[in-house]
Parts: sequence; structure tokens; C-alpha cells
Amino acid sequence: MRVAPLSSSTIIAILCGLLLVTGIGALAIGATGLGFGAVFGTDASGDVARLVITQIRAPRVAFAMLAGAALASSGAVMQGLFRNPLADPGLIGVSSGAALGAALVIVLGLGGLFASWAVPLGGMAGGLASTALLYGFSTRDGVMSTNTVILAGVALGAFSGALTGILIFRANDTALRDLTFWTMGSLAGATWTRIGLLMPFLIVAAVLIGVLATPLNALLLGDTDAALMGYRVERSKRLAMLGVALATGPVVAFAGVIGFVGVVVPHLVRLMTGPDHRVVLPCSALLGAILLVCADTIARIVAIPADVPVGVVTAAIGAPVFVWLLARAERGDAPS
Amino acid sequence: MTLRLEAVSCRVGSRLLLDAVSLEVPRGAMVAVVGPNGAGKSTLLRVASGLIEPEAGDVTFDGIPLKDMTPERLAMRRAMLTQDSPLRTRFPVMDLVRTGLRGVPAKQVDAFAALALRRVGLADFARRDVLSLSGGERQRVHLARVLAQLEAGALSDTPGLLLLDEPLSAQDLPRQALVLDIAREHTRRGGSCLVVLHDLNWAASRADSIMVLSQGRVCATGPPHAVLTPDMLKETFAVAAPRVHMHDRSGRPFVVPHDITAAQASETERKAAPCILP
Ligand SMILES: Nc1ncnc2c1ncn2[C@@H]1O[C@H](COP(=O)(O)OP(=O)(O)O)[C@@H](O)[C@H]1O
Ligand SMILES: [Mg+2]
Repeated sequence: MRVAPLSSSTIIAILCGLLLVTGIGALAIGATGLGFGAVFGTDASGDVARLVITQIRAPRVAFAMLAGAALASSGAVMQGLFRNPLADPGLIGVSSGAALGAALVIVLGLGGLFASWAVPLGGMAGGLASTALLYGFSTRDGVMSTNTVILAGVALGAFSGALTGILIFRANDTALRDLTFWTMGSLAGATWTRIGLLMPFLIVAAVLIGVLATPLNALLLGDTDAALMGYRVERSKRLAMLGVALATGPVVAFAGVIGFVGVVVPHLVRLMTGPDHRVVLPCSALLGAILLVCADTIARIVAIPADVPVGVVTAAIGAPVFVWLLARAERGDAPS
Repeated sequence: MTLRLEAVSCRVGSRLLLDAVSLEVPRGAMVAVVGPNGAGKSTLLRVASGLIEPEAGDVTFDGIPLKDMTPERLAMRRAMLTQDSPLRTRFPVMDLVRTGLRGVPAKQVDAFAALALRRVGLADFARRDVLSLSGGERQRVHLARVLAQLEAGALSDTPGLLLLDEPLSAQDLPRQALVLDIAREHTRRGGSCLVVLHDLNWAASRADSIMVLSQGRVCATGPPHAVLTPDMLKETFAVAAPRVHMHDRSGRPFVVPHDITAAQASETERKAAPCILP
């Protein structure tokens, strides 16, 4: 097997460069054709163009970067923690809980005049609450069973789904449209204010996830061997769940469910870097940011003037890539 | 380092897995634990490593109770090769060995890992993927990781305790000797070693003393010639007509498979053995 043909710092540098290029490209591309000149402010495209770029496209691109980074690095954490290549952030109930929280707000009209804030806040509360519930359910005497988390997560997801379904039956037409858009995931609502609200969560999550890189490497060897090497296994698991909930909860709350980024990106990264989380985590964040910016740009322009939900794009591209990765693993991974 | 267990009992649910087990592994000594399947050997190692806290009794390293030591400190004083690893992910051999090396200056990590791999005879495997190795090679990679962890701990203290749970289970004959010689090398340098073995002959040929565990109790303990006796084979392992031979050159006892028959190890025989829990 080939192990890391490029050095990890080279890969990180390349990804940073790509992120810059995609970011600038995404600013220049859109429904109103503004060239690169407008992006750099070098032509006389005027105030409207500036406004489109600084107030509409820039927050959206920035949000896509943050969301992609959060989802992909969370996915990498989950896969390491559960030693399961299929694990994604949704596994700990964040997405389904957030969906239920948001649906409650949308359908029952709890937000009133503040609906644009109430929906994400409801989603955030739902996501964090269901992660907490799952953690409590899977922990006995301070020891968390990852198997129970996976199984109970499926059950909790189905249950939240059922409740959300009941709410959908009660929904009127506008609520139904909001709900549908939300479950498919969209970055159309990105504003600088929302990014400001998102940042504190993401900063705390980034610190937690960063600290976890080395323990996650040890956890790949199993809880027992990690504990024998002096790692505080249960504390690491708790921090990992908290970090993932803090990273994905608010993103899902604002943008809805954006699938496949969390599963596929870390796999692609490991193909390049190998399993070391000190490299996998930052590279996943970078590649997640790049790919979600690309996906969102496609979502913006593929059906002008309509704005396709970005979740549709990530699923349409992510699902085939995922199957390809699985087929590849089937052929290459067979041990002894 | 000296490991001491005093009247250690351990329970899961209502089942007593260890019943007042006492044991000392002095500095420089290798103690082998033998006993039937399910006797509690792995449980004993888990207690001695601090992975689980006993329900009663004391476990100490050089007189310090394990429960007073932090996980980081424990990791410097002892390392353990477990019976099996759930690793299912691609992992380069070198990186796996490196995970055992905490608190080693970054510049020395590679040298430490390479040395550990050389000791277990896998110097050329550093860049291979763990999943592509044979079972025996993989077991030795984990042994290298464990040795590296002990070496890292010994940077700031005396050599620690090596705990090995059936380390020969996947090894061929010369590698079985290699593994036990590595353990003896560790004790010669002032470390100590507690090793679970199924092969009584390997235990008798290398260990300073043998402890026989059955149904959570110590049936016998002492130097090989005092422990590996026909009576012990009959009572603990339910061997029908046991014979023990003496090796001329080493003066250590051994048994041959030709004398052993399988049918005797049935449950009814085991229940008739003296080491039964109430
Ligand atoms: N967590 C557990 N729950 C219930 N029984 C256990 C547990 N761990 C071990 N045992 C039982 O305790 C006995 C001793 O186990 P172990 O120490 O692994 O035996 P061995 O001597 O073969 O290594 C076995 O019968 C095993 O089934
Ligand atoms: Mg065992």
C-alpha cells in the first residue's frame, strides 16, 4: 500500500490554495454576471455590484466554507470515534433533533415576528437536546457504549422523524414549503449576522476537535488499548460528542440538512493522507469548505433564476462518490 | 518495578471473577500465569494494569496504590499487550508504534519506534499497512508499540511493568522464543513482567515463577519445578494420567502432548476440581 505520497504540509498548502481560488471564483460567479473585476473592485461596476458581492455572495460563500469545514471535520471525528467508516455527524442525533426543533417552530408558528431567528434557534436547541439525550441513554457508570449510541441514534432519529412527520401533516402550505426547503438544506439564508452568531459555536468546536486529534488516533486501536496508553477515553468521547454537536447543530439549524459532506470528505482525505487525525482533521475541514463552496455555486447557477437547495447538489454528487469509495474499499481493504 | 496484588477480588454482576488473589512480581522477575480458559487470567491482568478497579484488595506499583496514579503516570509505569485488537482501519505500522510514544521528544520518536520494530523482528515492515499483515506479524507490531511505551516511560524512571496476555498465541516456534526473550531482556534491565501463557512448557522454561489460576482462585504458585507437577495437572487441568519430565540441561520440568487426552477437560471434571467457587 502507498502511504502518504505527498507530505502533509504540502497537502494542507495545496488545499489552502484551492480554497482561496474557489472562494474568489464563487464570488465572481452568480445570477448577475459580475466579472472578477467586480470582486477585486478594479472595474467601474458600481455600488450595486459591490452590494451584491459584499452583502449577498460573500456571506454565502463564507457560510458555505464554515459549514463545509464544520460538517466534514465533524464527520472525521465521528468516524474515528466510532471506528466506523459510515459514521457521520447525523449519527448522534444532531440533524434529526435539529429538524424536529426547526419543524416545531415553523409549523406551530412559535417564532411570530422573529421567525427568521426562531427557526435556527429551535433547530439548535433540538440538535443539542437530542445529543444530550443520546449521551445520557448510552452512558452507564460513566462509560459510554459506542454501540448503544449508534443503535439508539437510529431509533432516536426515526422517532424524531415520526414527530416531524406528524407536524408536517398539521402544516399549512407556507410552512410546508419552508420545511421542505429546510430538510433539503440551503445556504440561501446566509447573512453576516448569522455568521456572527455561528462563529462562537464553531470556535469552541474547533478547539475541542483540535485537542482531540491525538486521542482519536489512539482510539482507532480500541478503547482498551487507548486507555492503556494513558488516554482518558471517556473524557475524549464526551468532548468529541460535544464538539460535533457544537459544530453541526448550529450549521444544521441555519442551513438545514446537508448530506454526504460529513461522510465522503474525510474518506477522500484519508486516501491522500492516511489515518493520522492531526492531518485528517484540518484537511477535512479545508476540503469540506472547498467542496461545499463548489456545490453551493452549482446550486446557485444550475437553474437560474431558481436557487436549488445545496443539499440536493451534495447528495447528487456525494452519493455516487460514496458508492465508488465503498467499492474501492471492498477491493482494497481485505485484511489478510 | 515491583507489582503487588493483595487479596484482590473482582466481581461482574454476581459472578466472582477473582477471589482473594495475592501476587508479587518483584523487580527483575518474570511471573507466568497459567490456567484453564475462563480462569480469570485476563481479568487479573486488567486489574494489575489499572484498567479495572478491584472490588476488594490492593494493587500497588512500588508500594504506590494504582488508584492514586493518573492515567498518564500509569502509562509510563506499565504497558500491556492485550489479547486482541479491534483495529479495522488502515494504519501504517510505524504510525501505530508511534501512538505508544507519548512524552518522547519529537526528534526521537522515529528512532524509538524503529528500535521497537527491530526488536520484534519487523524492521522492514515500518511502511506497511497493519491490515495487510498476517496475524502473527500484527501481534508483534502491537508488542513493538507496547515496548515503545515502556521505553518512553523509562526515560524518566526505572524500567516498568510489562503485561502480556497470551503473547505467543499467533507466533511460530522461533518467534515464540523471540517474544519471551524480549520479555526476559526487559526484566534483566530491571523491569518486571507478568505474562499469561497457555503453553506450560514455555512457562516452565522461561519464568521465574508460575501462578496457577483456576475459577478465579490461586491454586498454586512458586518456581516451575514446584508448580508443574502431576498433581497440579490432574487437579487443575483434569489430565487423566499426567507425567512430568525433567529437562537435563536446564533442570526445568516439561510435559509432552502425547500424555494429554482431551475428554478429561469436560465441565463435570472441572466441577470436581478443588478450585471451585461456592
Ligand atoms: N465483563 C464480563 N461480564 C461477564 N463475565 C465476564 C466478563 N469478563 C469476563 N467474564 C468472565 O470471567 C471469566 C474470566 O474471564 P477471563 O479473565 O477473560 O478468562 P481467561 O482466564 O480465559 O483470560 C470468564 O468466564 C468470562 O466469561
Ligand atoms: Mg484471556
